[in-house]
Amino acid sequence: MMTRKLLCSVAVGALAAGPAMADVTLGYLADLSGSTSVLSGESSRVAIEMAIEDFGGEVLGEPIELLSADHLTQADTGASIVREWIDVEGVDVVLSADNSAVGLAASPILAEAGIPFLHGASTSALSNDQCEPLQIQALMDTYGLSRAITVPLVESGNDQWFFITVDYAFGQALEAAGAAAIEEAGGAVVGTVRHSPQDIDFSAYLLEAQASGANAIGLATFGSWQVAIAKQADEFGMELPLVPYFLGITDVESAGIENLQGIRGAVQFYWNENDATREFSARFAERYGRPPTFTNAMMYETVRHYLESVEAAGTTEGVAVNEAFRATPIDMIRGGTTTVREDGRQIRPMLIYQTRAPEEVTTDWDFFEIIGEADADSLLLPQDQSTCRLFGEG
Amino acid sequence: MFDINVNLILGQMVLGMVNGVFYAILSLGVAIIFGLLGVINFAHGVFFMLGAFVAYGLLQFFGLGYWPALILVPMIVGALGIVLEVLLIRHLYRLEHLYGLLLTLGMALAIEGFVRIVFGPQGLPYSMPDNLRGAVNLGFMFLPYYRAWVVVAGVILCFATWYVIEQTPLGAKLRAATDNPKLVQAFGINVPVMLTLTYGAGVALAGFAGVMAAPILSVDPSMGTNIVIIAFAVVVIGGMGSILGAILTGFGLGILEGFTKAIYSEASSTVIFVVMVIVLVTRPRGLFGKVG
Repeated sequence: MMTRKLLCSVAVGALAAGPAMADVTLGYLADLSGSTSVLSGESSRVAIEMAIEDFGGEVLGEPIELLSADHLTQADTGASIVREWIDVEGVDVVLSADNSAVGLAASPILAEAGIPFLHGASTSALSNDQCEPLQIQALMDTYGLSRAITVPLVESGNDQWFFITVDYAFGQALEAAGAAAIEEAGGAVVGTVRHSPQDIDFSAYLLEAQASGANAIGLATFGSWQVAIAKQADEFGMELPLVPYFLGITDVESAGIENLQGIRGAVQFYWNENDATREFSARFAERYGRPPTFTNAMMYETVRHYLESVEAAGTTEGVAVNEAFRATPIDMIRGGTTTVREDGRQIRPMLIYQTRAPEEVTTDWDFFEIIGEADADSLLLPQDQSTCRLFGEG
Repeated sequence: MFDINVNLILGQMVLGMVNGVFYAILSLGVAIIFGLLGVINFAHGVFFMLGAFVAYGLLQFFGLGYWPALILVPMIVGALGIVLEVLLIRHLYRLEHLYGLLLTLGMALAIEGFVRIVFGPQGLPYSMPDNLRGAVNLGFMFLPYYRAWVVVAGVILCFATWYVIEQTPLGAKLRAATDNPKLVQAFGINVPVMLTLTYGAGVALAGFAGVMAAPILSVDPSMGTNIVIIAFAVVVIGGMGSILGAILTGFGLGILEGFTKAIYSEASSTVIFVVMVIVLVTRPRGLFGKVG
């Protein structure tokens, strides 16, 4: 495992440095070293490589080249990498940019260059004010994320919410959308704290949540912050349910299932859902040592569909590929298909899960029990509330 | 915005005290190393992180739990510190402080990067010792036994360290050796060894704090990055090189931070730095810094 990780990083370096003369060049821009890299990072690159291999390694008779680079979660770094890829490497599509600020910075540059941007940022700004004709959201946006679990919980009686929110664009957008969903469903938000990205101790906020009279704590945050919150909630014997919006199996592994048992949330992909996901996950685990997270699965689906679209369009030219991408439904690993709306948002459902008790986890990484599904349409921002200019154009 | 709830404020201040323990132990190490060696040890946060990772390693590979880790980890981390002092840091004692800062910053980035390559950026699980699970009702809050233990152990450790340095013959030699190494050497004391051991002891403190943090914080390669900045602010506020200043300021700022969380949480991550600015402007030597 150790050696492989080391080799992988060497390979990234080599790929990023090498010249790209191939006709089909994919640029994977991601956080490869920071906190979000656990969920995507290196592992999503493996998922993309799988998609390329499954496709046969070439399209239109040309080999497929994959560039990858670390945006370091900094918008300006991300933007300059994208510019270099356009000017020097002749990139045909840019993937991921799994950070809202980086996604928002890369979007206008790629739009101007006419290059498709299949992004992994969650902010709904990228399918509203900053929607672009060649831009497609591979992950659920903050609107859908915030509704999938909130609405059923409010309806089942958890109607007084307290938010612990990471104090930047993603957290704030998620909290705002979550609060709107709660109020719409008849609940109320009784308190909010914004934590700084530097925070490591959250016990004070948990105490405040307890004092607020809330009966659910919404976690508009993720990664190591969420892990620390879960550990500390358990330490304080909190009985209030934590409601994560962005929880991956990797986070559960870090926090320990004993600290996260019995929690309900929603996720776009779960590796142990059915035979198809298990088959894919076994192949993925062979390469990466663990089952895929939802972001890994989304990158795989998106890249596979992109390559099919290039073949269908007979060219890598952005507009034509984009047209083909949107014209055919995207196959989901779990079975069934999704389609892309004018604003670039994929119309897809989410799975409602409950985390297992430690003694129920009989297979490694099998932390979730799927207990329901949030219907795709209920997660989609209604067209009349959207600020995307592309509606009605085509 | 300004909600006043006495129970909440008291609770937050108690929790702040717990964080204050971590600030105090880390700042204490920074203050000792600066005070006695003149090195601004930017690698301190990394030794804190290594403390937690070594504790994880002992559990994972040798089945040694929390209590043995509390003894073994400071020794292992301290030994690593000694190796680095001998190989790298001691060559810079004659130069300005800035060089030591640059070297230790480089060491910190390299070690953190190495840990990230080996373990990945993902957090590692570390469970709480079973005999410290549960909580005590203080009337205004439930205080987990573990946090109470952190406070007790931290206070004892801090004051024991202070006592050794300020009140014992060994401490007196140490202080003399930093003031005038040549003279102390002339008395037959091996000053370089003494300084090496001091560095080892300083980082061992960070390792100890790392073990104490492992059950309650996220154990990941960057866990020391932010806390070391606070430790430096504490040392600056307390007075560079002042041992007692570092301890008292660590506790005090932890409590102040907790209080701010209760009143206006958005300001809690900056309040320490606001205090630092005020202290630097009005009393540049720090609250407990010696005049001279």
